[in-house]
This record gives sequence, C-alpha cells and structure tokens, in this order.
Amino acid sequence: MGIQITSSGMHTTVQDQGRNGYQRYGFSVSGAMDSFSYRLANFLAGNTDQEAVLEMAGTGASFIFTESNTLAVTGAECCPKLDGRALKMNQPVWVEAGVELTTGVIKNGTFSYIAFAGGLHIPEVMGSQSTSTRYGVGGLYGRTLRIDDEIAFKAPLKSGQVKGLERGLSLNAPEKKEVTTIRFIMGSEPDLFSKTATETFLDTAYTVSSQSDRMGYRLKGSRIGTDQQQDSLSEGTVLGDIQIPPDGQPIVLMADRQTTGGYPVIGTITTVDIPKMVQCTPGEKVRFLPISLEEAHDLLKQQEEWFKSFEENRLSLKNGNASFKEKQSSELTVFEEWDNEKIKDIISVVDKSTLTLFTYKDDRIRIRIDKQQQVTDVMSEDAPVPETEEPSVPEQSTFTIYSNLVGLFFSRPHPDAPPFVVEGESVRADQTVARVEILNIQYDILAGTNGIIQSFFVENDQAIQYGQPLIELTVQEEA
Amino acid sequence: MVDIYPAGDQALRVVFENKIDRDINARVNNLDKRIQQHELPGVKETIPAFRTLTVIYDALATDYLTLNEQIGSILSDWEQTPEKKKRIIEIPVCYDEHFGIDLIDVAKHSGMTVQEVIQLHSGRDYTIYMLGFLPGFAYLGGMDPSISMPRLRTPRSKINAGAVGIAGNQTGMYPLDSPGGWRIIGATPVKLFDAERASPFLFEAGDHIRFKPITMEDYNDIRALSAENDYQCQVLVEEDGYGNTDNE
Repeated sequence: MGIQITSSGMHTTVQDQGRNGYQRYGFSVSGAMDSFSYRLANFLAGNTDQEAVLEMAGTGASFIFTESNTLAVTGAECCPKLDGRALKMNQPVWVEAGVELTTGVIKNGTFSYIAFAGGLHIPEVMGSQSTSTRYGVGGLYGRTLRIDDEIAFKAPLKSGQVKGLERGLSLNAPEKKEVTTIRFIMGSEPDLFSKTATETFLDTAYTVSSQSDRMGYRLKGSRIGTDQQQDSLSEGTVLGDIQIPPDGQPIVLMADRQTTGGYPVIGTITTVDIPKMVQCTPGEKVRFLPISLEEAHDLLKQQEEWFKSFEENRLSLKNGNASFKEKQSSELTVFEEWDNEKIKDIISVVDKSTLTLFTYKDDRIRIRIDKQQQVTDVMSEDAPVPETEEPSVPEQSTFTIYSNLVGLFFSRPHPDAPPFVVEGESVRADQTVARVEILNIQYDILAGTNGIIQSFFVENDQAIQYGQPLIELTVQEEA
Repeated sequence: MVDIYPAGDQALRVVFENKIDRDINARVNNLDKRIQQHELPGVKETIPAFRTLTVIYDALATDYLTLNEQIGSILSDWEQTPEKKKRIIEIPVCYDEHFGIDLIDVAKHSGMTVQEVIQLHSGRDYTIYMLGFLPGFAYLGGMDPSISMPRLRTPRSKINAGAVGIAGNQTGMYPLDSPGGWRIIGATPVKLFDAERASPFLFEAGDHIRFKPITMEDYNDIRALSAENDYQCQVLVEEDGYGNTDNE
C-alpha cells in the first residue's frame, strides 16, 4: 500500500509534469503549478523520472503511511511533522509504516509538494497522472483528495535513506521583497499595445488578487489600454502569458488555463520565473521586468545545470566518493525562513497595535512580546529552551483572533453587504466574524469564544500574513 | 503574408492574415501537418487556431532562431505543393424534435420547413478551423447563412453532451455537458470526447465534418455501440473540390 489521508487540506491534488500534447484538442495541460519545486521534490526523493507528487495549496494535507517509504517536501513552507516531530523542508526522509505525516498552514507561498520514492500508483489518463478537476480526469478519481482516500506507492524503496542526501538541501532563501520582480519576454506582435500602455505596465507594481487559482492569477493595478478595436481571434495559449482583458487588469495564465484565448497578450513570463509568480500570495506585489530571449534561455540552462550538478553529486556520493558539495544558487528559490527582518516586522506590528501581550510559537521559533514589561523575547527552537509558563491571561480578559492563513481579509461577505460583525457586537464562539480568501477559496473565521468585538486590526480587502492579529474580543463567560 | 514572433521563451507563433477565412485557415493547418511530418527536434506541441499556429518548444533542445529558419523553409517549400486531400469525418445526427428542441424555431426564423433546415445543415461539409473552448469542441466553418439564428438570450444551464446547435453563423457539437445559448437542432450518439479511449478525440483541426441524418432507432443503436467503444465514425478521404472518393 502507500498512504491514507487523515486530513485533506484545502486543495490537494495529484500532479505530474502535465498532460502535454492535447492542447490542440482543447484539453488543458494541468500539471504542477511550481514546476521547480515539483522537480526538486522528485530529485530529493531519489526519483530520476518525473513521478507524480501531491500538490497542496492554502493548508496542507496529512496522512498515515501504510507502507514504509522515503519522501521529500518542497515548495512553500508547510511545517511538515512526523508523528509530531518537526521535519525540515527540502530533505528526504525515510518513514516507517504506521507513522503519520502532518502538514499545516502553507506560509510564505502558495503551493507545497510531497514526492515519494518510486512514485504513486495512479493510472495514466491521456499520458499523465495529473488531476484536471475541471473535467474530472486523472489523479485520484479526477478530484481533490479527501479524508480516508488511499493511494498506493508504485515502487517504494525497500529500506533506508536516499544515499547522498541525508543532510538534505539548504536552499538559500532570498528575502521576500516588498515587490517581487518577475522577468518576462515582451510580446512582439505589433499594434496590440500603445507605447503608453506598455510604459504603464512596466511602471506599475501589480497586486496579486485573491481571485487567482490554478487557471490564472489576476492582478490589480493601473489599467492598461489595448489598441485593438475588435475582438482578436482566439489563438493557442502559452504558460505564463500575461493577458490584458477589456478591464485592463492583467491575468497571468497558469497550468489549468484554457487552451485558446482571444485577449491580447502583452508578454509571457520566463520559464524560470513562473514558479516565483506561482508562489506569490494574494496581496503580494509584483513588477514585470522585460529581458531578452537569449537571457531567458541562459537562465533556463543555468537552472538545468544546477539540477544536473545536484544529481551528479548525489550519484558520486552514492558510489562512495567523498565531499558532497551543496551547490547553492541565490537565483533559484525563494522561501523565507525566520530572520531578523521578519521578527522586527512583527515587533513593529505589535508595537503599533493595542496589544499588550503577544506570543507566537511554531516549530522553529517562539516569540513573546510584553509591552507592559517592556520585554521582547525571541528564542530559536534550535537552542535549548527552558519550559516557560504559558502567557498569563491579560486582566481585561481579551481574546485576539490571529490569522492562520495567508490571503485577503474580508470583513463583509461581499462588497455591498453589511459587515459580518461590528465593534461592540456580541458574538458566539461558532459565529463567523470575517472571511479570508486565497486561491479563490473562501475560509470563514469563527469568533472562537463568546464575547464582544472590541476592535479590528485589519481593514476589509487587506492582505494578511500568517500569525497576524485580526480582531480583538472581550471574553464573556457563557450565561 | 506570414510573420513569426516569439511567445515567451519556449514558444513561438506563426501568424497569418487577421481574419476568419477558409484559405488562411487551410494554410495554418497545412503548416501544422508539415511541421509534424518534419519532426523538428525540440518541438513539443503545436496548437493550430483560426489564423495562427502556436509552436511549443524545449529551449534546451532547440532555439528560436533555428526554429524560425526551419519553419520559414517549410513555409516556402509547401507554397509550391499545396495539400489536395481532405479528410471527412461523418458524424451521425438525429434531428428528431426530441433532441432538436429549437429546430422548429430555427425553421420559422429562416422561413423554411424543418426538412429544408435539416437538408441544408447536413448537405455540406464543414471545415474544422480549430478545437478549443471545451475538450474536443470544433469551431466549424461553412454553414449556409440562410439557416443562421442568434443565440438564446438566456443561456440554458445545461446542454447535454452530443447536442448539435446553431449560434449566429456557426454550427457546432457539444463534447461535454455544458451551459450554453446555442439553438439545439439535433444530437449525435457518438462520444466526441472520451478520456479513457485510445484516441480520446475523433478529429483534428483541418479535418472536415459531414453530418449524416439518422433515425431515432439508429441513434439508440449507435449509442449502445458507442458506450462499448464499438462504434467508429466513417472517415472519407476526398480530393479537395469533390474529386474521387475513396474510403480510408
């Protein structure tokens, strides 16, 4: 056997390199959204072929191993744990049957991947194991995974680690900047866009909308005019095409895109930067930088070299040779670990808020900020930490709802509707007080306690990060 | 006039004159066939459309300039030896009012009898300009304009797979259940798309469609065979311009 799902996650599907060759018949390509992390996961799990993996979005899935095997988790941080013990990202690990792998909220990105040595026993449909949820084709019954689903391994390792990768891979994580630069190739078909329209496009930092999904990412920002008077005739779409529909707000076409489209295309994102775009969360800003075809091809070759040298290193170590040199490239990847800047950000958020006490804890870090005592503690979980007492309940008995998601915060169900709750309103624990949207999926936030809404820390339609305080309540005991 | 432009770093687009036109589209589909025959290294997939051919390539196996040159030479080569054969796929259609729920409206709109509409619709071959919108959905050219009729003002929430309809000057078949505003004049018992079949699709861009009227009885028989994958559409190869017919 293989794995049995114990928690489905928000949107977990089986994906591989995609269903190529059928776009000409009107069938979408699909496949892993972040092709870099997909490939990396397979490499780390010791697969030389491009085996199917699990792709997770928003919140991760959890499952029990019904057979021992090796796996690797890549992509956006999803806090994987084996029977409760934290597991590093980008590291192969041997898992005994009976152990449960859990993952949590996906942070600092949108998609995470889990590859298994030898791949998954999922039949190929039209040459691919990828799930197309729109047509109910491929993957497991053509749908997202559910609790109790079982997937068998195809050719699991009989024992032990992937040789040469015991230490895993520590990928450099360039800081996520306020604006992510995405390199693209300008469209060269004349008369589609005026000089002004092109300049506007290049000058604008566009915000990723929560109306984004596996078909396409919608961007919000300065409106781009198109010069076309009439609708253009449909033509074949290309992964990473930046379409400009009549409302002038760009749409980036992704893995599940329609096969043909009629909106004018202002340019196409370079192959190496598509994973970077894919991992942008709603509310994040991107700016487009045009580069030449030659540069784009060089970048692609560099990435290929990196994968090759990585594989050679692995093989040479497997054969007993010495010194495995981890090649690292700042160009490649993407994901942020906790760093001083981020901690400073949190301190400044808490400082400006009405909070008097803030605590945060995950597998790697524990933060406690107490404004009354003027003390800020930041401890790494790597260092031995004395067992500290839980934070004492503040006197006024307030309760703060923190975001357990990255996405867009909505205080009302839709723009014209009244808010879910207002300040001063009393609420029940199971009452919806706000909504967070990511990848076009809506997630209701419940009050979590009976109480009275004191204040909102964020505004309607604002991008929020994991762990960010959202709403403060005064706790009221049950009557 | 033909142009070639890059479309990102792993695709290019061959662009013909900007209109829906049978001859222009025939050039797109001929170029598509020739590129496939040449098996150009690094070409992964081609997507023919009304007046463009999108070529997806592997930039680690070829590059834009090489492909541009190769495609340029195929283009000039083929201008001297145009494609003469046409492949016709015969699609059985039951025009019974049980399926053709809008057939009477179409007849009224065009001032004809139902029989005349059926004759005009099934009495000619249609060119498949391209596939898109849904898996296996063919954009067909060549409908007699006298049976054209605008779409329904309010689309139906579900049109069954196999439905044959008219929208403006276009006719088409629904490969999957789908919402839609087309005027439905009949249905084919044939599965136009089946992911589990060895050939999931029945036709390609550049092929031709001929609708063959069948009775309700035929419809049920073919549908039963089709469910078992035991039905094959008749495929005819003719000289373009109705020359000699020979079954394939």
